[in-house]
Amino acid sequence: MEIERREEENTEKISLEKREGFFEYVKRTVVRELRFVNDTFYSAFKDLFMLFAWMFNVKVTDNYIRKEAETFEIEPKSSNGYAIIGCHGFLSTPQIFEEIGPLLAENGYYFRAIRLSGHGTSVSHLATKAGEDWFSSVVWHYKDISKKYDKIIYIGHSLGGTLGMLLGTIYPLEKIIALASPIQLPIKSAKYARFVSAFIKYWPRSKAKIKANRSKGLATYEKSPLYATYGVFEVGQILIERAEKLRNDILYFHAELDHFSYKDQPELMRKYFENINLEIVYCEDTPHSMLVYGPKKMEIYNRILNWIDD
Amino acid sequence: MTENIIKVCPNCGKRLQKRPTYSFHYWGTISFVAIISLMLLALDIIPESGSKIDWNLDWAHWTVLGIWIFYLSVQLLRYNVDYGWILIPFAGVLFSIFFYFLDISDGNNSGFLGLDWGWYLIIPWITFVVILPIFARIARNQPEHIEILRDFVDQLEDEFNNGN
Repeated sequence: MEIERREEENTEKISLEKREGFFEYVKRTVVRELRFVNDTFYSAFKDLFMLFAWMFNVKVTDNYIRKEAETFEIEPKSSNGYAIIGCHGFLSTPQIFEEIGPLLAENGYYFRAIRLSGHGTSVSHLATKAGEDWFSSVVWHYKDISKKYDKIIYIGHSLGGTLGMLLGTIYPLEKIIALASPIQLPIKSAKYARFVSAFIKYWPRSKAKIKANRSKGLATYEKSPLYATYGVFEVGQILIERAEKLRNDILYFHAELDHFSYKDQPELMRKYFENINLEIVYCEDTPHSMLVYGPKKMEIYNRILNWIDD
Repeated sequence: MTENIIKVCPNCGKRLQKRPTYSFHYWGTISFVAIISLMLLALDIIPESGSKIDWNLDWAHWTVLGIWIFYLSVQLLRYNVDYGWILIPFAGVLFSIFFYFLDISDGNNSGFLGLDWGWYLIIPWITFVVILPIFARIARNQPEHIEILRDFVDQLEDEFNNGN
């Protein structure tokens, strides 16, 4: 039985006419081998060709807004009729208002933390921006909020504060709070920043600053685009030109541990804004990012709340 | 500024166009050029006959220098497309210096400042690649950012005053 079964299995079931011919066999084998060679070479040299192409590939700018850096607003449970605009500084995001925003809303204020153009996206995107782009962001949000609220208070940190004071020279604002805002920075070489940015596009930030921002989960930039940097100076210059038109009460916070170029800012504020009610608060042991870092963060929050309520 | 921007939805900020799938480390292209440079140097020092290496470079140093100047220019342009008006002249100056030394290092140097054929290449090169792009850029009547901001603020003020 076993022999018969084996013999049956060995019997060819396919007729000779239907078998693969010699040339078909050769063709199939050659195609298979060529495909093998092609795949092998593709695997070996694909990256090399891509690398060569990458060398000439123009760097693409990404303007996708990071989720954590988006504009946010907080409606109060019972409104007192006031709205507050919060504006962050250069390289920063609306995240800096995540702590103070709810406190303001608890006191009956509608609060909106706005995002300036080019921030919260990519540093190469910010490198294409200047003062007019940031100011148009502030104006857009002001106009949007003023449809609902007549009384608007402005809180701005650093560049955000300078933009707020510039806004105050055009539109009516109840009060302005500027935190470590630059008016006129004594860095003469800054005017060459745009030209230098052709060769050196970004300037790195300190490692300690990068580490601190990472630990807080802030979507800030880790290098500064030189092209955009001079925009901060231009906003300050336009503000000084229009200083006489500013009529609002201003509360200015000066950080003791700020960059040396900020040391004279309180005196400059007094010099350019003589005719307004200006109150300057000197914050000891406080760095530039005073809404996020520093031991006196809560004191600053309370001072802002008290001043607004008055 | 640059027009090479990934498209995103203006309302929600979501990306409409996907990022390029491929990217390389910053040292990728540098190593690529370095390996090719080493290969050229190796080809130059290997003797045509005999077993001893000839350490005197005949031509490879000029090729390697040219490749690196080209690489530097391309990388500067790649990151700053809008600065072509200054970066291409910058590369043009580097290439002019390169041509000068290329000419002076070899051949009959009896011409002006020791060059023979160099001036016929360097003068048109400086004219078209260095001077004309900078001249055209300076001649362009483009407002500065500060002027745009000043006009924008004045315009908003007029609108607000007329509205009231």
